[in-house]
Amino acid sequence: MTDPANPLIVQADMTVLLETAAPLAGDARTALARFAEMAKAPEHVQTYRITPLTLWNAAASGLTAEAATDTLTRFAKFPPPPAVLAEVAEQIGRYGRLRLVRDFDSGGLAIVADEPRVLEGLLTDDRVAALVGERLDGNRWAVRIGDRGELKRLLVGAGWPPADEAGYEDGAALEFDMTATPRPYQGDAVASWWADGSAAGGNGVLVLPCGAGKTIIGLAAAVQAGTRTLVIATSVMAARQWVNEALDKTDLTPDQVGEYSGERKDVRPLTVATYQILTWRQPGVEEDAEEELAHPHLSLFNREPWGLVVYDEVHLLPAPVFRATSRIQAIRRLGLTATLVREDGREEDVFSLIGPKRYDAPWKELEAQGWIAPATCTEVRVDMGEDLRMAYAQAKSQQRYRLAATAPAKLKAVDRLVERHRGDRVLVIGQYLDQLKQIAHHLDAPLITGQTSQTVREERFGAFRDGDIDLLVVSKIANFSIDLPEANVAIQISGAFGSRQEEAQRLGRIIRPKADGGQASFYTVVARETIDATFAANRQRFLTEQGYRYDIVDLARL
Amino acid sequence: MSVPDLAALLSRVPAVTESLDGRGPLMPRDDGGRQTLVRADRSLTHLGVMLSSPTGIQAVIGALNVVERQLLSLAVLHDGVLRRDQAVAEAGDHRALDQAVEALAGLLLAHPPFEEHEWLVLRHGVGRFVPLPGIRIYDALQSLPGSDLDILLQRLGAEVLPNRHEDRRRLVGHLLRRRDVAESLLEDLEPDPRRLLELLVEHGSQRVADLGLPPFDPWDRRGGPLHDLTRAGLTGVDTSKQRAFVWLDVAYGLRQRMFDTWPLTPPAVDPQPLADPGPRTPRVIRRLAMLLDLWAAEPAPGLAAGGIGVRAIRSAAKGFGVEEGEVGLLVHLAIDLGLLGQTDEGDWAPTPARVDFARLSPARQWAALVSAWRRSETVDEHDGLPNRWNGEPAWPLPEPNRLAVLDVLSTLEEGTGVDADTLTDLCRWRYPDALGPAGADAIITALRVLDLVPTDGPVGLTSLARALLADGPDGATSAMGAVAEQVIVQADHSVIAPPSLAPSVAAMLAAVAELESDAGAQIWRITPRRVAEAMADGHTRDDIVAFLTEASSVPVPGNVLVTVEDAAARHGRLRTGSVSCYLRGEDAADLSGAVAVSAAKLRLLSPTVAVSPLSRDAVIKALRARGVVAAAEDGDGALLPPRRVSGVPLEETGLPPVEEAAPVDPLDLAAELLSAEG
Repeated sequence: MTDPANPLIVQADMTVLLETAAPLAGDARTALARFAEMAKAPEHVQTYRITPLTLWNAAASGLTAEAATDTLTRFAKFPPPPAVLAEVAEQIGRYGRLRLVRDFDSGGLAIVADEPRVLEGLLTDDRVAALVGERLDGNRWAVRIGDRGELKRLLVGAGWPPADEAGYEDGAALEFDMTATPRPYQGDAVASWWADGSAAGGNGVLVLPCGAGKTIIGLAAAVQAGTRTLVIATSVMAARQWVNEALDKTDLTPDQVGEYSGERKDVRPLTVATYQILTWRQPGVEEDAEEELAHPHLSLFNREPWGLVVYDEVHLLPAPVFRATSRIQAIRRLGLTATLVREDGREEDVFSLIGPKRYDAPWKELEAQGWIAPATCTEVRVDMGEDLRMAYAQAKSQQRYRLAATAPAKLKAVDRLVERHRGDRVLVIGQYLDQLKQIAHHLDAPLITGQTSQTVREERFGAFRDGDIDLLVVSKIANFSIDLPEANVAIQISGAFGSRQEEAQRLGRIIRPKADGGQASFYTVVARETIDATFAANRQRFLTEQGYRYDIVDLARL
Repeated sequence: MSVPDLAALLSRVPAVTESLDGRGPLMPRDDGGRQTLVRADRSLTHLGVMLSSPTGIQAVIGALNVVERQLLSLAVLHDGVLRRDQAVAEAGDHRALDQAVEALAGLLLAHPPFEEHEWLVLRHGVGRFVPLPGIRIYDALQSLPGSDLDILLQRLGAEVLPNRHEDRRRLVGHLLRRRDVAESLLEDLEPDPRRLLELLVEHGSQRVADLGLPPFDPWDRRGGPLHDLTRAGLTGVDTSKQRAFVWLDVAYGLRQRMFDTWPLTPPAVDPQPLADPGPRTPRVIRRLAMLLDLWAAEPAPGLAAGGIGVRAIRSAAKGFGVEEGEVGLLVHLAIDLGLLGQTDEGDWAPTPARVDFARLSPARQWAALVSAWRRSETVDEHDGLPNRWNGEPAWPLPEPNRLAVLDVLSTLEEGTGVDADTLTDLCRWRYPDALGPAGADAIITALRVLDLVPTDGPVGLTSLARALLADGPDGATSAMGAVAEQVIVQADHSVIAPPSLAPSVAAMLAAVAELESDAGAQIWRITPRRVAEAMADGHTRDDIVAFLTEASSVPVPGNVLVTVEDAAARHGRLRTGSVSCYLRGEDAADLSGAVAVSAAKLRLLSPTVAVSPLSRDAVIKALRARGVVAAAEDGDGALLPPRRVSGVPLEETGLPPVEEAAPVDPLDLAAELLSAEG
């Protein structure tokens, strides 16, 4: 069984290391991915994590404890710790012992326990007891429909996940089809989310690299569900891209696709809203007012018979939308993201309300298959100059990052990089408006920031897409969901401190596959020996864990 | 005695086996503490000598489980001969009793029965080493005159009085253990003494004060219920502790049982799967190497009394991020193994033996540590793990406790463990005396430190520990597998190390990386801070790059090497040192002049600052001797008023003159005082 040539090392802390060079690595990964989630995928040894949640979801999809422990034993280099095998069996065995079902008598829900003492034990928790109603018979208790999400969240937290067999509301039908063929991995991703239409599927998060076509996946999921769909995107620009893609890649007509934003309020069978409009706060409403009063646009969730809600860039989900989501558990949900890293550490909330991670494609794997462009990452180091060094040394800690991030020497580096990539399509991305304005002025390039009007933004992005301009200076508004397929060089001059997901999202702007098959270049310009360099090292962590390598060069050697 | 029987005896009492092997605690010793027997001349005679010695008998009794111990005690109460029905009356008819009797015979504590009604007959001399839950009347009457003994026997209804004093004492005990005799004695008592006796029988020994009685004085003519009971020969009083108790035989006579419960089988065990990290180099080896490295670089200060204090151990523990008990245990073991010793200056540092120790394979290093722990006489787990070392041996010797826990753990099913409370219950059943009130907690912690049981979760021997305990270092070597010298260095700065990593590689890795996960294979992360610390500890850029390049089975990513280069570039740019004082001046020429005064031992750091190892006053004095005047300043640069320097008259300091008074002559003063008295 165990063999030193095998690819897996099962760790006592419930992680599994997978050696990618081992002969059976592919088979092991396929088997492991059914009940473990990938945590990191650096170039040689990938780390998978087995959690109760991954095991419960595996159980929901029909995986048995024997199959899971067999995978761990069969592909292991060393004998797996007995406690890990026992924990796997224990957690898989727990799934389904509590079930959430429809109660046709009352029209509400009921929770069913195969052993009543399990639920009786859980009812000693006041929070659970508040959500569970009267005992209907020996092993059934009533549950209000609106408490479905919260009760599930609490039971999951208590280690007793209910099998949600209450099913979904189908929503109003919307028959439409894709006009473009999804790529194989896109099809796989949708299939693993849909789970053959069973109650075990229909919710969850799909994690794919930027540029891997998450919009197509979202549309394919809507086609699969065949129902009215609400998509929530990060910005108006992104919402319009969804609308354009829906019109381009499906047979939906313009009167079937609407934008619900600060500018337009079209509610159509496929509606794309923005997080901003949903969380817009009614002026003058008191702090402790009811959520529907404070955020009137949240009613969009209930205004139409939606059968599916798609959350684009789900890692950015704001708190009011979180809460609204907990109340719509009868609607199918799909989260899309490239970087399920929340800087606030609330990944677990995403899992419990939107659903578990259903699919995770390593960036390097898609790159090897040609679905995203190969990219080289380079950190360019510049010196700050004596005067600035002294100012930096004497500055207060909260001022230091800005001083370092906006070091004038970075201008020289940008100059040289732009020169080097003359003929390419270059984005210069930064955090500080002064710095961006200075660079835009110096390079005589158009600038897009949060202050730029929507019309001008679209005009400039359009000109860049059409090739009329090949250099664009952008602020953090370009971090997400901006589709600039031909951009192949990004120069990052400053960022949001040590944000790992921002780094990955910025790389994502340039790795959409190129028509000529060319590769992308991602540069980060940092001031040497400053907090800028320290943050850069932290920011690079996500991508290095995805298998990317960073070259580090001095400006002088560029 | 047959071979299996002898083997069974030896396996039950490891101390005997090890002593025959020349290592154990039962070897006869001369006055100087040296063993008088060596392995080469071991024989049955020596075994006999050991087993018949008091320590031998005690060692065998220490190896008994609860049932065997209780049967042994019951037999002692019945003057060394026990009938089966007497045991059954207390414990019930159970096969476990017969097994226990067979075991006692196998351990040479009991004879085969001589007569038909006999069931358990103790060997001569065994009884005196059996700890009893009270005092027998036989022992209490040892100093009673024969005539008094006769009166007592007649009062108890004895018809024939034996000749020998000890036989008469035995007869007293025999009569008191009879229910009819005991109950008639009880009935004859007044109500108060009777209630008191019933209370002592029911609840055992009590403080006199707790009985609501005044302090007991045997000569107090006023008497009282306790006096009545004592005079009737039913109870005794420890006058120094003021505790009253009933003789064991009386209690037995009234209750017709010696023990409340007879746990005939071990406590039930709910085995839980073990978080066994599998075959890997035990962490304790790396921890020990880190400790020795630390104290090689900066020896631990020794105490005036010669030991190692809590400060040095606490400081090391803080540095390693572990409990101080863990470091304390390693210190004790390192000293026992001769790896740590005291320098001429009184500090503690690694000895040359460390070099030889490091050459051993990981399995042998581990075996040596485990063996040192088993035999350690200075670590007393009853007090928790040590946080200091003073060389004092613990008493009673703690080795049997450790062997007891290891033995109980070895009986658990492989790959399973139990919680600490269950283990304590098991140990208490199997070795009732071994653990004492502290239970197995500290021993379990020691086992975790030594990697004999997993770091977390249920307590059970790891597969490696089983191999080591069953087959010694060779077994551990084989179970650990080939030592790995290679790691995988990745671009995210993580380093994946296989479980059986060579200690030398692990030690260097620990110098440049932080351990992120140690749950089987180890995951380390190379960080700029750790690399900088490694350089501060004396590693060079070339060392580190060479190590990473050689140890990594894949090419080292460029950004990782840049991290090392960065740390190297920064290393030494800021420097610190110890000086006693500085001299500063705006005029570089002035300062140069001062530095030229060799007595001031000044060294120029910059054109305007010089430092000296001498004190500020010494520098001022040395400069002043050469005509260079320097003013003292405080840390903020403010000038300080001149301090009075020894030998300088007070009036020269500018202070107001002090009026000098004439010294008083003691003689004069005395005369003055006496004359005043008249």
